[in-house]
Amino acid sequence: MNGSYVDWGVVHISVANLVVIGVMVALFLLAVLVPFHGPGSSDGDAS
Amino acid sequence: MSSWTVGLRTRLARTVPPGELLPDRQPAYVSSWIYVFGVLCLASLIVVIGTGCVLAIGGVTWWHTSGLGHFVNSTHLWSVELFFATMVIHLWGKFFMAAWRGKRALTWMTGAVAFVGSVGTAFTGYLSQTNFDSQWIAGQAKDGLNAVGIGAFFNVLDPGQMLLWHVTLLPLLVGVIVVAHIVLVRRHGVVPPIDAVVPGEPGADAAVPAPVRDLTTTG
Repeated sequence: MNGSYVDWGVVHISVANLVVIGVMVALFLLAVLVPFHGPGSSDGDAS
Repeated sequence: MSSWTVGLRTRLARTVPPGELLPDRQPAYVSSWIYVFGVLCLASLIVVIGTGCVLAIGGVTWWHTSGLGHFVNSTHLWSVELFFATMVIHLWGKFFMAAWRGKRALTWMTGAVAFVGSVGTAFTGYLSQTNFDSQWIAGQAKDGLNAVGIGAFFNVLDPGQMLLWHVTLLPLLVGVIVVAHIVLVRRHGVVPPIDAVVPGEPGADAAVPAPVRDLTTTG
Protein backbone atom coordinates (compact mmCIF):
# COMPACT_ATOMS: atom_id res chain seq x y z
CA MET A 1 0.00 0.00 0.00
CA ASN A 2 1.43 3.34 -1.01
CA GLY A 3 1.42 6.10 1.58
CA SER A 4 0.24 9.67 1.04
CA TYR A 5 2.95 12.26 0.38
CA VAL A 6 3.15 16.03 0.30
CA ASP A 7 5.29 17.59 -2.45
CA TRP A 8 6.35 21.21 -2.01
CA GLY A 9 9.30 22.22 -4.19
CA VAL A 10 12.26 20.09 -3.15
CA VAL A 11 10.37 18.94 -0.05
CA HIS A 12 8.89 15.44 -0.32
CA ILE A 13 7.46 14.18 2.96
CA SER A 14 4.90 11.58 3.99
CA VAL A 15 1.68 12.84 5.56
CA ALA A 16 2.39 10.64 8.60
CA ASN A 17 5.77 12.30 9.21
CA LEU A 18 4.29 15.74 8.60
CA VAL A 19 1.56 15.06 11.20
CA VAL A 20 4.18 13.93 13.75
CA ILE A 21 6.22 17.10 13.19
CA GLY A 22 3.04 19.19 13.51
CA VAL A 23 2.15 17.50 16.80
CA MET A 24 5.69 18.13 18.11
CA VAL A 25 5.53 21.83 17.19
CA ALA A 26 2.08 22.07 18.84
CA LEU A 27 3.42 20.39 22.00
CA PHE A 28 6.35 22.80 22.05
CA LEU A 29 4.08 25.84 21.76
CA LEU A 30 1.73 24.47 24.44
CA ALA A 31 4.67 23.77 26.76
CA VAL A 32 5.80 27.39 26.41
CA LEU A 33 2.36 29.00 26.68
CA VAL A 34 0.36 26.83 29.13
CA PRO A 35 0.94 27.70 32.82
CA PHE A 36 2.51 24.97 34.94
CA HIS A 37 0.78 24.39 38.28
CA GLY A 38 3.12 21.93 39.95
CA PRO A 39 4.31 21.68 43.56
CA GLY A 40 7.12 24.12 42.78
CA SER A 41 4.91 26.81 41.23
CA SER A 42 5.08 30.28 42.71
CA ASP A 43 1.54 30.25 44.13
CA GLY A 44 1.94 26.92 45.92
CA ASP A 45 5.40 27.36 47.44
CA ALA A 46 5.38 29.85 50.26
CA SER A 47 8.85 29.02 51.63
CA MET B 1 50.09 12.11 50.67
CA SER B 2 46.50 10.95 50.20
CA SER B 3 45.60 7.77 48.33
CA TRP B 4 43.96 7.66 44.89
CA THR B 5 40.63 6.70 46.50
CA VAL B 6 40.63 9.89 48.57
CA GLY B 7 41.58 11.88 45.48
CA LEU B 8 38.79 10.31 43.43
CA ARG B 9 36.28 10.79 46.24
CA THR B 10 37.23 14.45 46.59
CA ARG B 11 37.00 14.91 42.80
CA LEU B 12 33.54 13.29 42.66
CA ALA B 13 32.32 15.36 45.62
CA ARG B 14 33.56 18.52 43.90
CA THR B 15 31.94 17.69 40.55
CA VAL B 16 28.39 18.28 41.74
CA PRO B 17 27.76 20.74 44.61
CA PRO B 18 26.30 19.18 47.79
CA GLY B 19 22.53 18.65 47.56
CA GLU B 20 22.40 19.28 43.80
CA LEU B 21 22.69 15.69 42.54
CA LEU B 22 19.05 14.80 43.30
CA PRO B 23 17.54 18.14 44.35
CA ASP B 24 14.03 18.56 45.74
CA ARG B 25 13.93 22.31 45.13
CA GLN B 26 14.43 24.22 41.90
CA PRO B 27 14.49 27.90 40.90
CA ALA B 28 11.04 29.43 40.32
CA TYR B 29 11.59 29.73 36.56
CA VAL B 30 11.82 25.91 36.27
CA SER B 31 8.06 25.83 36.93
CA SER B 32 7.19 25.51 33.22
CA TRP B 33 6.09 22.63 31.00
CA ILE B 34 9.07 23.15 28.71
CA TYR B 35 11.34 21.80 31.48
CA VAL B 36 9.36 18.54 31.55
CA PHE B 37 10.64 17.31 28.20
CA GLY B 38 14.20 16.64 29.34
CA VAL B 39 13.04 14.26 32.04
CA LEU B 40 10.43 12.73 29.69
CA CYS B 41 13.29 12.02 27.31
CA LEU B 42 15.23 10.36 30.13
CA ALA B 43 12.18 8.31 31.16
CA SER B 44 11.75 7.15 27.55
CA LEU B 45 15.41 6.14 27.43
CA ILE B 46 14.94 3.98 30.53
CA VAL B 47 12.00 2.19 28.83
CA VAL B 48 14.07 1.82 25.63
CA ILE B 49 16.91 0.17 27.55
CA GLY B 50 14.56 -2.01 29.61
CA THR B 51 12.63 -3.33 26.60
CA GLY B 52 15.89 -3.75 24.71
CA CYS B 53 17.20 -5.98 27.51
CA VAL B 54 14.04 -8.10 27.35
CA LEU B 55 14.40 -8.37 23.56
CA ALA B 56 18.00 -9.50 24.07
CA ILE B 57 16.73 -12.38 26.21
CA GLY B 58 14.19 -13.47 23.57
CA GLY B 59 16.56 -13.12 20.63
CA VAL B 60 16.54 -11.15 17.42
CA THR B 61 13.76 -13.13 15.71
CA TRP B 62 11.62 -13.57 18.85
CA TRP B 63 9.16 -10.87 17.82
CA HIS B 64 8.33 -12.69 14.56
CA THR B 65 7.00 -15.78 16.34
CA SER B 66 5.69 -14.66 19.75
CA GLY B 67 2.86 -12.35 20.73
CA LEU B 68 4.78 -11.29 23.82
CA GLY B 69 7.89 -10.74 21.71
CA HIS B 70 5.88 -8.61 19.29
CA PHE B 71 4.51 -6.56 22.19
CA VAL B 72 7.96 -5.97 23.67
CA ASN B 73 9.33 -5.11 20.23
CA SER B 74 6.53 -2.59 19.71
CA THR B 75 7.12 -1.09 23.16
CA HIS B 76 10.80 -0.77 22.24
CA LEU B 77 9.88 1.00 18.97
CA TRP B 78 7.34 3.41 20.48
CA SER B 79 9.53 4.31 23.44
CA VAL B 80 12.22 5.20 20.89
CA GLU B 81 9.69 7.38 19.03
CA LEU B 82 8.83 9.16 22.29
CA PHE B 83 12.53 9.37 23.17
CA PHE B 84 13.29 11.25 19.94
CA ALA B 85 10.16 13.42 19.96
CA THR B 86 10.74 14.58 23.56
CA MET B 87 14.48 15.00 22.92
CA VAL B 88 13.84 17.27 19.92
CA ILE B 89 11.30 19.39 21.87
CA HIS B 90 13.84 19.56 24.73
CA LEU B 91 16.42 20.68 22.13
CA TRP B 92 14.08 23.39 20.75
CA GLY B 93 13.43 24.68 24.26
CA LYS B 94 17.12 24.79 25.15
CA PHE B 95 18.00 26.44 21.83
CA PHE B 96 15.58 29.32 22.38
CA MET B 97 16.76 29.65 26.01
CA ALA B 98 20.38 29.88 24.72
CA ALA B 99 21.07 27.24 27.35
CA TRP B 100 24.82 27.21 26.69
CA ARG B 101 25.18 30.46 28.69
CA GLY B 102 26.95 30.57 32.07
CA LYS B 103 29.75 28.01 31.43
CA ARG B 104 27.22 25.47 30.15
CA ALA B 105 28.88 24.94 26.73
CA LEU B 106 29.92 21.39 27.61
CA THR B 107 26.35 20.59 28.71
CA TRP B 108 25.09 21.78 25.31
CA MET B 109 27.80 19.82 23.46
CA THR B 110 27.21 16.56 25.33
CA GLY B 111 23.49 16.94 24.55
CA ALA B 112 24.25 17.41 20.85
CA VAL B 113 26.59 14.39 20.80
CA ALA B 114 23.98 12.31 22.65
CA PHE B 115 21.45 13.27 19.94
CA VAL B 116 23.79 12.24 17.09
CA GLY B 117 24.77 9.03 18.91
CA SER B 118 21.10 8.21 19.44
CA VAL B 119 20.39 8.65 15.73
CA GLY B 120 23.17 6.17 14.92
CA THR B 121 21.83 3.73 17.51
CA ALA B 122 18.33 4.01 16.05
CA PHE B 123 19.62 3.40 12.50
CA THR B 124 21.37 0.19 13.58
CA GLY B 125 18.07 -0.78 15.22
CA TYR B 126 16.32 -0.47 11.86
CA LEU B 127 19.01 -2.80 10.47
CA SER B 128 18.33 -5.38 13.22
CA GLN B 129 14.66 -6.01 12.44
CA THR B 130 15.47 -9.26 10.57
CA ASN B 131 12.90 -8.54 7.85
CA PHE B 132 12.73 -7.17 4.32
CA ASP B 133 12.56 -3.62 5.66
CA SER B 134 15.98 -3.96 7.26
CA GLN B 135 17.35 -5.49 4.04
CA TRP B 136 16.00 -2.56 2.03
CA ILE B 137 17.42 0.02 4.46
CA ALA B 138 20.82 -1.73 4.43
CA GLY B 139 20.83 -1.72 0.63
CA GLN B 140 20.07 2.01 0.61
CA ALA B 141 22.61 2.84 3.36
CA LYS B 142 25.62 0.93 2.00
CA ASP B 143 26.28 3.26 -0.93
CA GLY B 144 26.33 6.37 1.22
CA LEU B 145 28.53 4.81 3.89
CA ASN B 146 30.89 3.32 1.29
CA ALA B 147 31.10 6.76 -0.34
CA VAL B 148 32.37 8.31 2.89
CA GLY B 149 34.85 5.48 3.36
CA ILE B 150 33.63 3.67 6.45
CA GLY B 151 31.99 0.67 4.76
CA ALA B 152 35.09 -1.49 5.33
CA PHE B 153 34.65 -1.59 9.11
CA PHE B 154 30.99 -0.58 9.43
CA ASN B 155 29.20 -2.93 7.02
CA VAL B 156 25.45 -2.31 7.05
CA LEU B 157 24.96 -5.48 4.99
CA ASP B 158 26.26 -7.55 7.93
CA PRO B 159 23.26 -8.00 10.30
CA GLY B 160 25.41 -9.61 13.01
CA GLN B 161 27.79 -6.66 13.12
CA MET B 162 24.93 -4.14 13.09
CA LEU B 163 23.12 -5.99 15.90
CA LEU B 164 26.23 -5.94 18.08
CA TRP B 165 26.76 -2.23 17.43
CA HIS B 166 23.08 -1.70 18.29
CA VAL B 167 23.06 -3.64 21.57
CA THR B 168 26.55 -2.95 22.94
CA LEU B 169 28.80 -0.25 21.51
CA LEU B 170 26.30 2.48 20.66
CA PRO B 171 24.10 2.13 23.79
CA LEU B 172 27.29 2.22 25.89
CA LEU B 173 28.38 5.40 24.10
CA VAL B 174 24.96 7.03 24.42
CA GLY B 175 24.64 5.91 28.05
CA VAL B 176 28.00 7.38 29.08
CA ILE B 177 27.27 10.67 27.27
CA VAL B 178 23.78 10.93 28.79
CA VAL B 179 25.19 10.37 32.30
CA ALA B 180 27.83 13.05 31.62
CA HIS B 181 25.09 15.37 30.34
CA ILE B 182 22.97 14.90 33.46
CA VAL B 183 25.97 15.35 35.78
CA LEU B 184 26.81 18.59 33.96
CA VAL B 185 23.20 19.80 34.27
CA ARG B 186 23.31 19.14 38.02
CA ARG B 187 26.79 20.68 38.31
CA HIS B 188 25.86 23.99 36.68
CA GLY B 189 22.12 24.01 37.44
CA VAL B 190 19.29 24.85 35.08
CA VAL B 191 20.03 27.87 32.92
CA PRO B 192 18.25 31.03 34.18
CA PRO B 193 16.05 33.13 31.87
CA ILE B 194 17.97 35.45 29.55
CA ASP B 195 16.87 38.64 31.34
CA ALA B 196 17.37 37.29 34.89
CA VAL B 197 20.11 38.60 37.17
CA VAL B 198 21.82 35.65 38.87
CA PRO B 199 23.13 36.10 42.43
CA GLY B 200 26.92 36.07 42.52
CA GLU B 201 27.30 37.09 38.88
CA PRO B 202 28.20 40.58 37.57
CA GLY B 203 25.30 42.98 37.89
CA ALA B 204 23.65 41.10 40.76
CA ASP B 205 24.51 43.79 43.32
CA ALA B 206 22.81 46.54 41.34
CA ALA B 207 19.27 47.51 42.20
CA VAL B 208 17.14 44.77 40.76
CA PRO B 209 13.35 44.77 40.70
CA ALA B 210 12.03 42.34 43.28
CA PRO B 211 10.25 40.00 40.81
CA VAL B 212 13.45 39.43 38.88
CA ARG B 213 15.42 38.78 42.06
CA ASP B 214 12.74 36.39 43.22
CA LEU B 215 13.07 34.44 39.99
CA THR B 216 16.74 33.85 40.63
CA THR B 217 16.47 32.46 44.14
CA THR B 218 15.80 28.80 44.80
CA GLY B 219 12.42 27.78 46.14
